[in-house]
Amino acid sequence: MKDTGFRNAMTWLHTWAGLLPGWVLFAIFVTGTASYFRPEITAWMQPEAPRRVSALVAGQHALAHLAEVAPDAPRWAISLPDARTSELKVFWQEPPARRFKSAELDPQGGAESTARKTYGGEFFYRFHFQLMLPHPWGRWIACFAAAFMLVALVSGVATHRRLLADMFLFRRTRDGRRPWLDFHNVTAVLALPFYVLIAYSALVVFTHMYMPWAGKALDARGEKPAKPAVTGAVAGGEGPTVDTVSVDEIFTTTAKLWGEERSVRRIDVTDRGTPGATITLTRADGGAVSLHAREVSKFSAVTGEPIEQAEKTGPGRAVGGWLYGFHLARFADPVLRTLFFVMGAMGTAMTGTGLALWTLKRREKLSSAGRGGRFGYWLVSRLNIAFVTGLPIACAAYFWANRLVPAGLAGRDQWEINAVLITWAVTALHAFVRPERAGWREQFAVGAVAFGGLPLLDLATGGRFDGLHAGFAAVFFALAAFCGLGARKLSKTSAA
Amino acid sequence: MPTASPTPSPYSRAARARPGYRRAVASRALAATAGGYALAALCAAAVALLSGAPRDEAIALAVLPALVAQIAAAVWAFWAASATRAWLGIAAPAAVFGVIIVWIQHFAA
Repeated sequence: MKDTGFRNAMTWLHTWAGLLPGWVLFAIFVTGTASYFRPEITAWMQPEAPRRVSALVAGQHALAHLAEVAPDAPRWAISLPDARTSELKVFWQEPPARRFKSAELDPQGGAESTARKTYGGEFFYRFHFQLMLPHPWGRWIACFAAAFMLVALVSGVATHRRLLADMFLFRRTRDGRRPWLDFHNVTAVLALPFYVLIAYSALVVFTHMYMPWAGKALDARGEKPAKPAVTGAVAGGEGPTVDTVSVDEIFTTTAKLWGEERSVRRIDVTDRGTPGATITLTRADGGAVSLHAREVSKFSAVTGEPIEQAEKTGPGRAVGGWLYGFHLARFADPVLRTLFFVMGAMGTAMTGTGLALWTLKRREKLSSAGRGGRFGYWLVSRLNIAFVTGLPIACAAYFWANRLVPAGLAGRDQWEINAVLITWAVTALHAFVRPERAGWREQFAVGAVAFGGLPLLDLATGGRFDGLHAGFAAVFFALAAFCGLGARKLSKTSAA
Repeated sequence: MPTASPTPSPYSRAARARPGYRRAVASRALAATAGGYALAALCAAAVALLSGAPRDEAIALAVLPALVAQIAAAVWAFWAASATRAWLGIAAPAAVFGVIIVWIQHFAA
């Protein structure tokens, strides 16, 4: 037992490296897990939008639209529907404006989309790394939370003498803290590689912001970023010197070549009207894990000839691209994606039980010692309620608002977000003014009603009988059942 | 030399009662966060310069060990027997990376 000191130090570190970012991590786990189904959430939130549309038809509509509204814009970009989304978005940039203008189109008719305006799944995706904070604060906080999480994972593993044995240990006792601890351990250990990879890859994704020092050192040495050589310009040669190639033609040919199953997902046209104009087509996800393995075809818009892309390879980019692709999980088929979702849900449970454990442990100490630390207990226990039950209730409010805010209301997409903020503020206030136990019980009860009602609301307001809506109903009912169990357990046993 | 006798935890109840405990923990926390990040930054810069790879590849490669160094430093900061050792254990590898950076920037061709 000569490593007792080490294990005690790691236990101490695990407690604090886990608690400090705990609430942020919980929020990131909730919204990040939802983000695995980002396009599906958008589809649920736009039940009037068409499903499974042709990328080929949509792309032709988009190009026609851009030719009409932005004939002179030097940059065009089009995001096309695929197997998971029917969204068709066009973007264009007209100097001196640096911001892109955009429009959402009906993928079948080509006119401006008439589906209700919503951020859909994008809200959860943005939240999970921007935290609804002004740029770049949310990203920095999310990065530090990821770094803390890695420290908490390492120290958490180090506290265990027998990791494998503890993995299968679940004590069903009446002892207050034991089941929580076991549940925390089981959720932590079962998906441990997933947590390590998801936190590590999060930091790799933000290398440019979080760890820019390698680039700065190289720049200081005089290795300025290489500018890609302008291709396609034929100095003094015959033939056209500006882009005359039909984007539509190149797109249509490629889309037919790639097939509907994994068609073109994105079209980028750059430097339009100049000799360096290019057309880039990106194929829909579904191939390799790595983002760098994306299938991309680039053409000169002057000659129509394909442009050979400089091979960007090397172990660093290979590993980095794999980690980025793993983090987004866009490569995954529905079954694998569901598995990722389940591991995300386990991570949510791990952070939630970890936060609860801090208060359970502290409560024992408070009752035995009777000294200071009551303020810390009060703050942590109420923040726990505001995040662990308050945030999911606020997320349920997002879906409720989606169906209750009138479809034609101006700025309705913002009102869906406001519904989240207002609901979260109310749950937080409730958490801080109510006694701890009542706070949990009442929020669990509200959560049960809020989630349990969503499938019924869906059916009453345009939901369809299909796999997507059935899947959402299953998840909503599961969350409602979990909340209901929590509320029931807290009201059955007499006051602790 | 490490002995076989059990090392007392630097965070035990007895340790908490000692004067200077709070300052020592604050010092470790600073070593773990600021020290750990500085070590990672120097590691990234040194590895990128050493790799001799093209810019994109060098940056992508260098961040991988840098993040490991950051987490290791943070764990070490609270593992070390004292706050002073915590700082020394981070400063030593940081100095090595610093020397590598200065060497390559100023003396290598």
